[in-house]
Amino acid sequence: MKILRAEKLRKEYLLGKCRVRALRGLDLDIHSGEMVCVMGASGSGKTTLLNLLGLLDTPTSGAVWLQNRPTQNLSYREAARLRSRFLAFIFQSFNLFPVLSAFENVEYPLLFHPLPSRERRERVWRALEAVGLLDAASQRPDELSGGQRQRVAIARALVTRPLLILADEPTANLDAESAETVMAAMRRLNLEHRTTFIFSTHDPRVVHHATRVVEISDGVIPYEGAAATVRNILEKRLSK
Amino acid sequence: MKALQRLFEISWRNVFRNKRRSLLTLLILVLGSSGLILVGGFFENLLEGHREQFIHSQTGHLQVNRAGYFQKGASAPLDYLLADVGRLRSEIEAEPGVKFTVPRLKFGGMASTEETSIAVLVVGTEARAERRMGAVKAANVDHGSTRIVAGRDLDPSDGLGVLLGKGLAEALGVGVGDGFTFLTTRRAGAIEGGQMRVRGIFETIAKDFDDHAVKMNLEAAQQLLGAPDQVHSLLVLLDETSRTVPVRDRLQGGFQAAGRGLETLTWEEQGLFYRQSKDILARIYAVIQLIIGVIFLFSIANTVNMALFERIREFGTMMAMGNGRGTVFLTIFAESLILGILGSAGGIAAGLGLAQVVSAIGIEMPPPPQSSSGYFAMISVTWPLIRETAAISLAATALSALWPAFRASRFRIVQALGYV
Ligand SMILES: Nc1ncnc2c1ncn2[C@@H]1O[C@H](COP(=O)(O)OP(=O)(O)OP(=O)(O)O)[C@@H](O)[C@H]1O
Ligand SMILES: [Mg+2]
Repeated sequence: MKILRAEKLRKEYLLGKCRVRALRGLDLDIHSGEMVCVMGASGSGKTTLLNLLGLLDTPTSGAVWLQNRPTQNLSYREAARLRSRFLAFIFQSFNLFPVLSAFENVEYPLLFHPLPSRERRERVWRALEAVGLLDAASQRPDELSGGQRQRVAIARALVTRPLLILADEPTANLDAESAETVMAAMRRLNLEHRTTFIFSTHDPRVVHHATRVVEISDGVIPYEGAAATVRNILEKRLSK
Repeated sequence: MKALQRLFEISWRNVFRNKRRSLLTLLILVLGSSGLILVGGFFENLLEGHREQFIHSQTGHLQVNRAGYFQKGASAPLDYLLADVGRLRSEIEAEPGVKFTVPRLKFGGMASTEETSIAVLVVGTEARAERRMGAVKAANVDHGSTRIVAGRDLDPSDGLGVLLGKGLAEALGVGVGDGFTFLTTRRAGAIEGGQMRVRGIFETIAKDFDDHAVKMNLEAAQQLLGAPDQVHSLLVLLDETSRTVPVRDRLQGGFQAAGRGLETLTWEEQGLFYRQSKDILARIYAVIQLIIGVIFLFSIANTVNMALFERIREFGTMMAMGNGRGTVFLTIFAESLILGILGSAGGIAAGLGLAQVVSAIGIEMPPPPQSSSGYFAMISVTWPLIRETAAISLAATALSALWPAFRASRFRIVQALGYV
């Protein structure tokens, strides 16, 4: 089932008098249960694309369809409502609330959903369990390692049962080992709970966790395909 | 409900996140607020002392006259005499809150020695009642409001033996035991006079009074003016200065209903000098409040700003997760308000504590204007003072958070998320 569709997306930034074309007419579909990797060099437009798909920003032209409904001309409030109901985010620098414990951080987005408190707490525990952090529930972010923090962020994204989780370079601030555990946690959720992910990276080592790879370069998608095929291409490029 | 509670918790914890910065802000609030309490309480005490001295040396809490006497009586004292004084006195003294009354007959005249002549104001009074009025301690000022600086106080048997104000005695060049000639005008231009003898010299808070006043026994004064059994005013002394206005309203209401043609003035209506010092102090205090308010405003705005811009990404995250701009605004605003409440509570508590200490020690004061003896001032903390001080720190914190909170809540989400 197609849950998100981007059509002829263009995004231009004004940098002084200079016009930066970050996205130049990009098309992309995302289906339920996928784990899509957006791959590209620095400045290729990954963050811009994920911001538009996550309804955090509006395109210069083109459209994003969420569950076959157009999202142009939404008010701030309407966009906020769609985000809190259908989307969730994982950030490169974790963005946890430093004053809240891991449990409270995961609970936070649920506070704005009408749920009985018992079910809310249960969901938080299950989300923490899913990322293997039951023991860290009462810890504050500054008492956790980078990898643990990002797994708390994953639990926080997971807990509202969103249609799609968007993760912009979730491993960029992590060492190789933590990056691997974080990606593995996401992949397991994708396999076991059919949680749909789209994540961006410029690190070829994490690509293999994706079910589909989209390469982005200068604001267009020159290539997309199954992860295995892309890995072959990448390996050829790397060996050159 | 839970959401609001958690948002408040977040604000609360954020207040203590950067301990040093919050403590600094709290310190500024505590110092400023307690300073306001101390200065305000000190001014209040000055005014209180001043007011009580004035009441007990000159005006009483209330003054009952023939209607119009206060405006025009000085030029025509004989037209404003009160008749049937005995009945009026017992009527007034029966009023709840009234302690006693002091009769007064005032008229002008000329005092002469061989060297000089000076226009004087004769105050005919009852020596006992007068003493009782003057002996009441004026707030913390530990001497009576009327001080005998030489000789002795008036005695009912003194006849033409009188008390002179300190300034007047100096101007006339007379001392205790000396005599001088007094002349005054009666009805139809008749001149009346007598040889007076100085029994004592007094001093009050009001120098201009002391420069002209001759105090003598009421009966002798009545004889001089040719107005037996008549007085101009009854000064009314109450058990509490704070009851002045209600008692005035009751008395005056009764007089008016009976068509008695009387006026009842409060000490404040008579005391131009008190009103002026009150206005000056009030204005000085308002300027101090303003300065401290501005200091609060800028130092807190600065703290809030610094704290916010380190956390823009947090607010971006909140908005990405679907929180409204109002929610972001509210958490920031709540944070400042918490600081303000803690700071002003601490400041007021500290101010009250320090006020106790300072009052116990006392502030040695030089003689107040128009007076000649110093005293120890204290700190009088009043409810309005506490309310105003709390209002200033709360308003300053709320106001200083307004703009930063508004700005933070207006950030575009992607911009806020990218903020480092
Ligand atoms: N707010 C902005 N104003 C001006 N130009 C911008 C802005 N944001 C991005 N750009 C430009 O748009 C292009 C795409 O940027 P984007 O951040 O989407 O790339 P990216 O693939 O996420 O890069 P990175 O790997 O460095 O995060 C870049 O050339 C960038 O300089
Ligand atoms: Mg980026």
